[in-house]
Amino acid sequence: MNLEIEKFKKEIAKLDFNSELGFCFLEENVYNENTENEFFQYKLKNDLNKIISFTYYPCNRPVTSNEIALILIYPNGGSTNLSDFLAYKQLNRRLSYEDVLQYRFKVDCDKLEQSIQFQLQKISTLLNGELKIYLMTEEWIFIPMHDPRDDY
Amino acid sequence: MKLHLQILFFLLTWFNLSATPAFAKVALPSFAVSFQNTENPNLKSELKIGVSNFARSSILENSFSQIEVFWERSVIENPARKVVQGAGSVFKVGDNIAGFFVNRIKNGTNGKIAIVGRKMSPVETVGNSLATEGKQIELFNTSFQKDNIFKIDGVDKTWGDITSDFNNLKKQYGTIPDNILQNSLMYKANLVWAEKIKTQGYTIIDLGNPTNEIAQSVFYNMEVQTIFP
Repeated sequence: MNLEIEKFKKEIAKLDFNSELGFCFLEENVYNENTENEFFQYKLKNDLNKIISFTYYPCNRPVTSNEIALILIYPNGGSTNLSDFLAYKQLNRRLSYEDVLQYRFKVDCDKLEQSIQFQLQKISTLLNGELKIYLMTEEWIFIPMHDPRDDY
Repeated sequence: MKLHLQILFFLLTWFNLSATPAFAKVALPSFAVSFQNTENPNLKSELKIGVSNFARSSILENSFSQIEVFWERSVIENPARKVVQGAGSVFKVGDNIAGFFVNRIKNGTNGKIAIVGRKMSPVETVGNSLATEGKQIELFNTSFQKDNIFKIDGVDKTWGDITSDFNNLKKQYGTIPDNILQNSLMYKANLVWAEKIKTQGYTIIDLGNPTNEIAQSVFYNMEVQTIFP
């Protein structure tokens, strides 16, 4: 397994999503193990069947890299990316791919451990703050996103 | 006497026949009321949620007003058409869902509903409407695919990989040519999804081209060819 993923696992294990939010460990998976496309997913679930999914994309990975993605998954099959949520909060209109870029949780590959800690803490604060209502009730969020397929 | 009986029989028969249209006229308002009882309170209550729910209330506010407009139009144009409702609904061609009409249908077995169409805005309006009723919905868009993993050419790809790849192609080509589109991760993931909903027993609703787009879409055409060959 990628050493970065080991570091990410170590850092995420330090966070508590249970006492305040009621989320328990669901599963973790390494995909494309020992290839350049390797990435890691870590999932938590609560009694309302809502899931919090962390994806860690290591540095030097092609296409998507050095990034943590946080996705809320609802029982109705829908999901919300935390970066999309933050972008929509700011822009309040249908979002394009470019709109979300600056709201992504990128990690600094030169200061990996501190950077992962910092971004996870930021995510944790958001989950325990303004996103709490969506995690602990039946609430769900739909963020209107431009579908690039509509252009073709 | 016989003549009187015949006249009486004629009058009774005529009265019974004339009662049918009178009943139909009464039935229409009750249909309109049933829509309000099922759809509007849900949506209206969600509009009251407040500032903290900005994201959802905002989109539903749009959907709600759109639904109202389309609802009024559908009543005027076709008062006999019913709005699909209830967990056990079986869809059929011509059904009106949130103001859009079912163009083609493949009824499924797994209780889940997938929706396709030429443009995503109607697809999302219909999807959100059915999701608000508590149905299990799946669309090929960011909201529903964000956490899915797609096996493409033997490699697991996330939605993040797929959208990033598409954006890179846009940067490279401006308008991506069809032959390049068909090799993009987006196209391949869309194909994987179309095959999945077809083989895993989803009820698949095709809205067709409700916005009358002139240009062909390689994505939508591929979905239709895969699902309704």
